[in-house]
Amino acid sequence: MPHAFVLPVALFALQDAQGVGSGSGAAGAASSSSSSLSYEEGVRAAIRGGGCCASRAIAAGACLAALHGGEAGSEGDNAHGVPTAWVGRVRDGQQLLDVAVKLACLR
Amino acid sequence: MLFCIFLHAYIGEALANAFDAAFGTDSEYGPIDPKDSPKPLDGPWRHGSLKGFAALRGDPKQTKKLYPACGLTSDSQADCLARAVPVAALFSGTRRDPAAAAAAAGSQDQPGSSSSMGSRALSDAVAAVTRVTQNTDVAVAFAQAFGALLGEVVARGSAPLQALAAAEKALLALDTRGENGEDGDSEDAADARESARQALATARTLASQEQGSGSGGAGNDQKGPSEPFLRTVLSYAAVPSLSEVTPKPIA
Repeated sequence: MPHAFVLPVALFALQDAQGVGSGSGAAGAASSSSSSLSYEEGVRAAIRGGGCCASRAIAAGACLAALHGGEAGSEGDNAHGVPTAWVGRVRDGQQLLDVAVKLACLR
Repeated sequence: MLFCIFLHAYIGEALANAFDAAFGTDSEYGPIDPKDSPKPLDGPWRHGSLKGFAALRGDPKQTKKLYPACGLTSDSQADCLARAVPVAALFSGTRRDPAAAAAAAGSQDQPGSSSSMGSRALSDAVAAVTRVTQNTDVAVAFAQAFGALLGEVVARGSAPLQALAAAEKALLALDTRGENGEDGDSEDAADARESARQALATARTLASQEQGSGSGGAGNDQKGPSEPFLRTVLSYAAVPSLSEVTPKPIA
């Protein structure tokens, strides 16, 4: 596992080189350049790495959502965020996203 | 200290019960599918650590394994990273509150700085929830590294490379526990944390090199990382060649 960890984290770190400045959530989304990896692109890249790809995709997705904002987005509306279509394909997807937001607001 | 140990044990057993209900052999996921069962599975899917946990916890021939004995002692897969995500969200949520963010401004709690109390609480909680399914030092160390990384981004708004460096520091800070008269970690745990720290450093170096080469950087027309960068990170993921990466779109 140790080296498998490098893939999603390096993909995430690369966002520094791609015009994503500091600031999370909406601020991060606002500072995302057109050349930075979106949530969808990062997750797809992690999956295409093959092997034990599920958890690496989760890791890449968590990093990119933290950076770009976890809110569901679509073209022109937080296009770097979690794709709205993906949320719709997950059972209770929107409810899960809502729980995540509530969790982050607990403390 | 003792209170924290009991609290984590309580939380760990509560989470184990929740996993039992959601993913156990009596849940809608049903019995554990044999390794050689045809793929994709016709129905809900559990990752390896959850299957191991469900098998351990639901074995009718054995006494029910309580936390942390319900966690596999040979499982250090990357599944542990998923455990760190909600914990990092919980421990980092304060800064989403503009008032709390304003209160932190001007203090040492700035992007890239290490708040040792917060880091330690987050790391301890990540360790507790990781051991529910993966009771190994390696899984805990990598989950802690990932939790620290996410925490830096969410709570302090750190940029990626800055967050990686801060997460490395947070891991190093965990190694001072034994110096204050508290119980020190085992050598294995310290080695595992060092391995996780080196993985963070490797990722940071690879990204910096990519940045230095001008590939995929801001202002560059290229979309995403360069092929050499991908080749390197894939080699770390034990994927022998780029040709094995099948670019199939998700239907």
